[in-house]
Amino acid sequence: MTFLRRQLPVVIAFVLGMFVLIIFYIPAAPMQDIGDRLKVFVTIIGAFAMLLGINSILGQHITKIRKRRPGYGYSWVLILGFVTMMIAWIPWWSAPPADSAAYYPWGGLENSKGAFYWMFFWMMVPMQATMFSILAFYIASAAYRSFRAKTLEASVLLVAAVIVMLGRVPLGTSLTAWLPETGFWSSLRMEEMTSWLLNVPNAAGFRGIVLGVALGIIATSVRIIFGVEKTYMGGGD
Amino acid sequence: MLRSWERYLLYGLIAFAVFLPLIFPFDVWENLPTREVLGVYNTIENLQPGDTIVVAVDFDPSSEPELYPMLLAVLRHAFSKDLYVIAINLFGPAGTGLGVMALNDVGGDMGKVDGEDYVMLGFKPNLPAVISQLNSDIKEMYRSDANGKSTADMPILERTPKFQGNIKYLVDLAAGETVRPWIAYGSAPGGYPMGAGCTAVSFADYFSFYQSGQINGLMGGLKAAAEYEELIERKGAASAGMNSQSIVHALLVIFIIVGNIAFFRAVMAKRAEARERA
Repeated sequence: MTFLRRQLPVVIAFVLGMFVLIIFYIPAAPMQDIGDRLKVFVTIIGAFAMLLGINSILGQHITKIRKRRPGYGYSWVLILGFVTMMIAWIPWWSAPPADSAAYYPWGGLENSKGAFYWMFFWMMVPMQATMFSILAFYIASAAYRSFRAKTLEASVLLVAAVIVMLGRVPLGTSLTAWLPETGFWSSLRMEEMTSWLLNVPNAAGFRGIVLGVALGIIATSVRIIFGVEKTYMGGGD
Repeated sequence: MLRSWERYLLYGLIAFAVFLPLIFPFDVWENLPTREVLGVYNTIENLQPGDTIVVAVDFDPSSEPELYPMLLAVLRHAFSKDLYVIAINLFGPAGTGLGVMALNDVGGDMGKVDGEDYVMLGFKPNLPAVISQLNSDIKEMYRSDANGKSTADMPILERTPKFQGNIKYLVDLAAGETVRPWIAYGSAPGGYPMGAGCTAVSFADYFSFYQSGQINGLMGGLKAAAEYEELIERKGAASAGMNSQSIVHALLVIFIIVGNIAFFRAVMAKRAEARERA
């Protein structure tokens, strides 16, 4: 049993990891075909991960309802929403139209009179968009409360933020529209200052972050392939 | 710490700044197209009728206010040039519906036919694997489209069986971290140019890819969508929202200034108090 739980996953990770790495450098058609097949496998495994996610979220909320923890009413809303949307999207396999892989009895995305369409476009879309839009109020509150020129660094950040905020809207760019479009003074136009801030300091900082993340991913991948990193199996060693 | 009347005042002013320009629209400030937006526009403009582009609808309803107008503008531009459009969603299942609606609305308006002139492939998990597979065989990964129609004899996919060698341009409208995988596994190995659109919040994140030339255009937030609408001479939701956004941004700057004045007054008052005690 130890072999199945400990050694076998490491062997599979090593063999497949090395294989995929090697075929990346071999453009021969048969090798690429095998690589393509493996990519389909990965997508299928990804779909199973989604099932695990559903199991996890439903399990958590059912426990919350059973133990009547504070806010368990919201768990009911989640479960009802989940079940209703799922039922509305169940395909009707018994009699699909000739050109379709599946037929949705309550209407799919193409049927504007169907239940799924109605719930998706008239409930889910506005609700999610509203949640995101509420950010405007929090940003306003945060800008008023916390954006203080307490130190030199904070002051630089504040000035940069104000320039970018104004440089990204027509009202802001129109403030400096009277400056010439070419020559030295053009660099003081709001859109030019915004472009410089995004292109130079921002891009430099972000490139460093991206390279750091990429190196981290490579290091973790190598550790998994060679069996040094085993936390994905659920153990700590 | 905000007092409760201050909070109501702030929220009230923001609400007014958002609603009033939408209720009473005006056209005062010119929204000039930026280099980044022109990058996407010019690439599509220079394609030939019959070319195929990919539009990745990698966002969900939470980013719909910013990215959906951008999607509509790009689709309108592509269809007006008689380009074929393959749409896909690799961000989350909820994005597929938005893609279907946009394609049906714009495609229907412009006399395009689903399955012949455009297709929405739908959502699949695991970006890197799906993207690399699409470079070599679309139907192997998508046996049916987002509406459940079989892709086996779909004319648009008969014409374009794989991305590599067939796609002239890819536009990724991204709410999350999808631009990087599209560059690494799609555009770079597939050899087709790529542009991106994103929310205003993530605009700064993608600038390094634009600067390096890995994407030849970048559209950030509602402003970029409005610029694109101006370029195709069809103003829509983005242009309507620009006045609200302009005023809200100016209001935020005023809040920051007022907040700082209050902060420095408090600091000076404290210092004066300390001096008096000493």
